Amino acid sequence: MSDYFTTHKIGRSLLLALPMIILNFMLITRGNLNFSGSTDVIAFSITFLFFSYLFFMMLYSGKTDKYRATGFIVFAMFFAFTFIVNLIKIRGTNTFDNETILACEIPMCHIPAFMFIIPAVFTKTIIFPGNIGSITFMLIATVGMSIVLGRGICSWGCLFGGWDECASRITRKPVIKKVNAVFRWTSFAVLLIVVLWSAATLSPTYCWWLCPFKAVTEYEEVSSFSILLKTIVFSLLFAGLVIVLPILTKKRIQCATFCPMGAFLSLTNKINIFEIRIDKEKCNNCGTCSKICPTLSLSKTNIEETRPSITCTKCGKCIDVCSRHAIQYHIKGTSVIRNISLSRYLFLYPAFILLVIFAGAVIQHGIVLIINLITTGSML
Amino acid sequence: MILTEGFLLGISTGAVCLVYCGPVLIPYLLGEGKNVRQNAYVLILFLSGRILAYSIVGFLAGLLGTVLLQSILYKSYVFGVIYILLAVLLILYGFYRFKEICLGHLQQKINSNLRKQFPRIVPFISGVITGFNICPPFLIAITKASDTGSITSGILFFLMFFMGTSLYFVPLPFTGFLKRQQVFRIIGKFASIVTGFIFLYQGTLKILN
Amino acid sequence: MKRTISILAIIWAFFCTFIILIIFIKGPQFTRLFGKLPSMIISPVYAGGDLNYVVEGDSLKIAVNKPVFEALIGESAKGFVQITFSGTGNLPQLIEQEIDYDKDLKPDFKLKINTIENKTEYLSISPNAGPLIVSSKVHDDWVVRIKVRNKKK
Repeated sequence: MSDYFTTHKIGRSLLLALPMIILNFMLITRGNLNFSGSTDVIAFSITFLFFSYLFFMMLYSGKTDKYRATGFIVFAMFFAFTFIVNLIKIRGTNTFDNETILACEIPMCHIPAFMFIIPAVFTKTIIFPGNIGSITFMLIATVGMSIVLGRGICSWGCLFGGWDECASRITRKPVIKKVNAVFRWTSFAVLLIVVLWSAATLSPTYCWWLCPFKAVTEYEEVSSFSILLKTIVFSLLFAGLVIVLPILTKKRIQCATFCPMGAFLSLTNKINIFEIRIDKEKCNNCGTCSKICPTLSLSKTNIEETRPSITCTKCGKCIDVCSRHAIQYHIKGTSVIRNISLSRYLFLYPAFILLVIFAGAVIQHGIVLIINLITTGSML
Repeated sequence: MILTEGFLLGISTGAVCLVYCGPVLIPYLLGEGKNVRQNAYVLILFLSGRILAYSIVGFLAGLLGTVLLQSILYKSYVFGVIYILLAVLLILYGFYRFKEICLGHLQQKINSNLRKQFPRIVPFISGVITGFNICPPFLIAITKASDTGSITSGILFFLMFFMGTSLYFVPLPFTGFLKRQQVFRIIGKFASIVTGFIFLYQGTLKILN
Repeated sequence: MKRTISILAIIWAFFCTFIILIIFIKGPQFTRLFGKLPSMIISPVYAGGDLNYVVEGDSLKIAVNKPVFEALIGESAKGFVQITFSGTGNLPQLIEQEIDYDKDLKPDFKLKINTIENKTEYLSISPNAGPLIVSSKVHDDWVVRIKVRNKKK
């Protein structure tokens, strides 16, 4: 009897995962099956199997966070790795100098988008020394992603979130056991100051001064006191907020308390159709969800209000740990007690597609580089 | 640039003003009127008082800059040191709570009978009193206005600074500030620390240059 | 009413999958479309400003841009002017040039650039020309930025 149920569950999960597996195939190959060699075939196969396995397991096990985090962390590591290798291929170094700035060749990620709003309104220009095509695409992608997922981007599509996610999972138990949930609002202060300072100086202040992830991508070549100061600031922020504090607290400290883009995206959570809800009937106020929430989004008040704070990144960790199944993905405007599985599937599909779109190409490329290193002794 | 700088300094440090003056001023302002219309009326009177105080301070700061500070030899060094001192104060301000820093406390002491007798003058006077607030954001604004080296620029700078800070006061009585005081406090305090570091950097650069 | 809202919400949630797919599959088309919007221009603070005039010599082409006094509102009191030196073949080893950036027929500053040793000597002639901000090779060209004062301020 138990075998029958297991087989039935596998079959059902496979059937529900099938559209995603087909989409995985299409997105990772990008509709092009002309592999240039066996290395490409191996890289494609590993990437395709990896993502198909993750999605299947999400449906089969009913757990979201464990499999999401695996894909998300691998993505962040591979992104940093491939990004740096590519820069070394093009520039010979992963630092940039005056030449790169004057030529407007600084690559842009999704994070600076919020800094552009006020200067774009007043000066009708974009305050970033990058390629206008890639900036336009990044802006469209950020707006589109935030409409679909709100702050869910921070756990499913961010290029860097996997770093502090990884650090927050290193220890089994937190050394600092209690982090006051009120600190989730500090990122809004960073957002406020960065937006205003960028507008006043017409420069992407966060990128120049505060972004900790310059440590794992590219940074300015030290040639003046001011650049030295910038280097010290971002290195300390990376070490403190992305590595040390997440290890000690088991929280995504950089994402929860510092990232201004996270704060900005929190505002889009308000208009987003997907949310996390707590069923008051089932909840016994054990507080486990509040303790494990990596972005400090579930305080006692939030549990009483049956929904997390706007800072929730929809990672699914609280849903997975709740022994009474009182927390679930929810579509706004629908009943909290009905359509639980449907709400989860309808959220998982766009969220996982986002992860595959970003991570698929990056991981595939990273595997090619590793194979090249093993077989030829060089990645370049 | 003066206009932009003043306005942006007002917005960036206005969050700090809110932390210290909000809890004192807003219940007071709300206590004056019984409905939104009356609240708005009291608020306009209060802000008129503030604008008068800010214009006076702007004039004095501009005068100070024209007469005294522009003629001193090591101007950028002096301003650099002032910036650094104020930045340290702003950072401390973010970490600690100074209860009596907002002069808004004064009007709580004003006799309630006086409020009934002069319903128009009291909010206006309150605005003037709170306009002369010796807090780090205000001192930074004075330094910046003096740095412009012109009376007109000093007044303009303070008027824009007024507009920036007022943005926080205008909508708050109507948007549940009292319910979410702790959230605004933590945002304001952290904004104060970050702003402090920015001025610390600006001061250091002024000295090094 | 509740039921209608519920159905509409589920339909919208269902379409979210397609929205994500469309954004990324049709990305290049969207980029071209939105790239035509008036605000999709790199700020002159980074791009260097519009071209003012060009001086063409035998082995050197000098492009003098219009001064940039970009501010959030209006113009700032201080800005910069960008000069681009391009060689007809390779850049000459030594570039020595007087520049009249405001077209008042008087030189405003003098530049002496050693493109091999990456050394720049700068001499301000006009009171409106401030210090040198940057002097750097950019691809096959050499770009120089000089701080200038806004005459209107």
